[in-house]
Amino acid sequence: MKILTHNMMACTKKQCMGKGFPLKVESTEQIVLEQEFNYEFTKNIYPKLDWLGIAEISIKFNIPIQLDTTKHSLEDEEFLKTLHNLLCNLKVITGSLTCPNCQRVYPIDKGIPNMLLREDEIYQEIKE
Amino acid sequence: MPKYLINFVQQYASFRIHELESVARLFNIDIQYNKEDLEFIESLDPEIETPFLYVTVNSEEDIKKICTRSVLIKSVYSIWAETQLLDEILNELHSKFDKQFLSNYMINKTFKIEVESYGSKYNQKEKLEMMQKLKDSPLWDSGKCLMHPTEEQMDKHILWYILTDFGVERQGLVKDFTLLPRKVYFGQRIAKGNRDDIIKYNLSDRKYLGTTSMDPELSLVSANMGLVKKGHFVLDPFVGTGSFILVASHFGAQTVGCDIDIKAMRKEEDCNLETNFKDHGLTSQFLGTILCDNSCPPWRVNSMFDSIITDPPYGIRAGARKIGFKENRKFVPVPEGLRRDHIPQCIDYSVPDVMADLLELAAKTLIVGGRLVYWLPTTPDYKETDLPRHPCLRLITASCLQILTNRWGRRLVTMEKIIEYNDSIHNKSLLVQEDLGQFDPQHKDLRAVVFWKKMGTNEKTKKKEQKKKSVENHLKSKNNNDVINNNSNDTNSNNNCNNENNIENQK
Repeated sequence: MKILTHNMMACTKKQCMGKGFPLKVESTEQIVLEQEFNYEFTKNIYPKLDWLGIAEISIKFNIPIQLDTTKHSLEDEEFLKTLHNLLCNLKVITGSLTCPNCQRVYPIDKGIPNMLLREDEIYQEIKE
Repeated sequence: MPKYLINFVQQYASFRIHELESVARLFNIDIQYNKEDLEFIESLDPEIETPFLYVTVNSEEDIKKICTRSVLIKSVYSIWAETQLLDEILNELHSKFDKQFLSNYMINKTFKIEVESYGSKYNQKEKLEMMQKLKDSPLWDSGKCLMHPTEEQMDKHILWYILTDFGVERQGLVKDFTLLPRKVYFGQRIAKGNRDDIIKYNLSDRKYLGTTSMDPELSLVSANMGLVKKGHFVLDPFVGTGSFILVASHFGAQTVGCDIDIKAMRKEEDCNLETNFKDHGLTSQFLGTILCDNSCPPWRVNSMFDSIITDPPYGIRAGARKIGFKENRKFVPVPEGLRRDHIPQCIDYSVPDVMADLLELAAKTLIVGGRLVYWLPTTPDYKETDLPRHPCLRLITASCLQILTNRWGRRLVTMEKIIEYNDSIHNKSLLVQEDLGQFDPQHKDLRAVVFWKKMGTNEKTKKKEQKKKSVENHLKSKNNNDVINNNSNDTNSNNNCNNENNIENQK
């Protein structure tokens, strides 16, 4: 799971709609990829990000990033490079995601987050 | 404004114009054509159908750009003369162009002439004869013939084409030499369509495949309909083996896929969805996959995807499933210790529900102006009210139809998000069927249509059953004694009556 994917995700439970993000990341194994800076994509994705999630990740993995987004613009290439590096080059292989609202834990295994709910959780929802 | 003749591929007649329009939109190119010609382009009637269409664009650059993407264009020509007979080509050419202009046209240039035909074939001798007919023209005064130009020579190389259009079925099995072509064109080829990508993403070269992998040509068409380009963010919520995101990545988008089936995404360590990306050198364009259920998508409600391209499961080859509690089982909560590696129970996910959830997902996560492109199975009874709808989405086209058998086919449906999603207005539970579409859709129970044997009401099965019955009765009557023999005669005569009735019914 790359950090960008994490930034777009939220808890899948219906009752957490609008509240289930940013998911808290625990990581026991992660890799850093080396990929070329993609200017078009970073520019495209910039306004869609959840900056609270970025802030948490930046602290968690100790990657400093300028969070005061009012100051810099899309022309600041250095900033975009750091952002791209954080979003696309850090990949969590094993770990877990925790919903800040309902505390549900979603495991990450071999780089794929498992966002499936259990059938009893769905059943509860229908009952409620 | 220059006018060009497009030669489309022969198959997928109903897709061709929509792909062209989408690609033109992708590059912001203003493309114009005579709307009356569409009738011939999309026609299934072999008498009138044709793959040739004249279009007008602002410049030659524009048409070349379109050709870099469009996979349903074979080639594009700039036509110098168009007649009914080959012998009249030169007259037409000389009346349209000044003699001096023609004579000077190919100074310092090389050329080659080719003959191509739609609905017929020529051997080398016939081709030469046709070329000979054009020999008396000032056009060939300057210019040198070159059969195999190198890369550098291509700039100054002109490919002249003689195109004849016979129509796909006019020629027949035995070649009729007296039959004249519907049209003869003479002109130069400007560009070739993007057919090479189809070979590049050939399924047989792909290591990791599944039963429902989409073929590369239609994947590329879907990506073109979805206006995928460099820097875009693309999602496939039913990723399977990843055919769509692979070609979307090829066009420069960053892609992400979801599926409920972990096996589909991570079959083996050295042969999975990710290795397919690696084999094509696209690893940097691939963001990863997520194991999730389409009925509970794992995304924030935020406009983030530029397009969603997908082939939802519709229960013919791959059945749709979602997590849920099976009705025949007792409700037992999963014990605390077993929760982490628990594999949830799945129940059937009806196709109308799949579609409704897909549109809801698109309404929530697409950017305004972003496109949702998906495949929908349809029968000949298809009506536009079958289509799922959503107030945030506008239908662009659903007329691209691939006919699979005479009972069913599949349509490529393209929709565009027009307004932002608002939870208090567009929440699925607040919408009525008027907003959501799918009025008694024929895709509700497609298995019954495709595997028609199961329907039981079919004439063929009826006949079989009756035959079986009469044979059984016959055997019974043989084994029975004299007294019952009379009765069995009666039953036999009854059978005869039944058979007569059947024949009448069939009539």
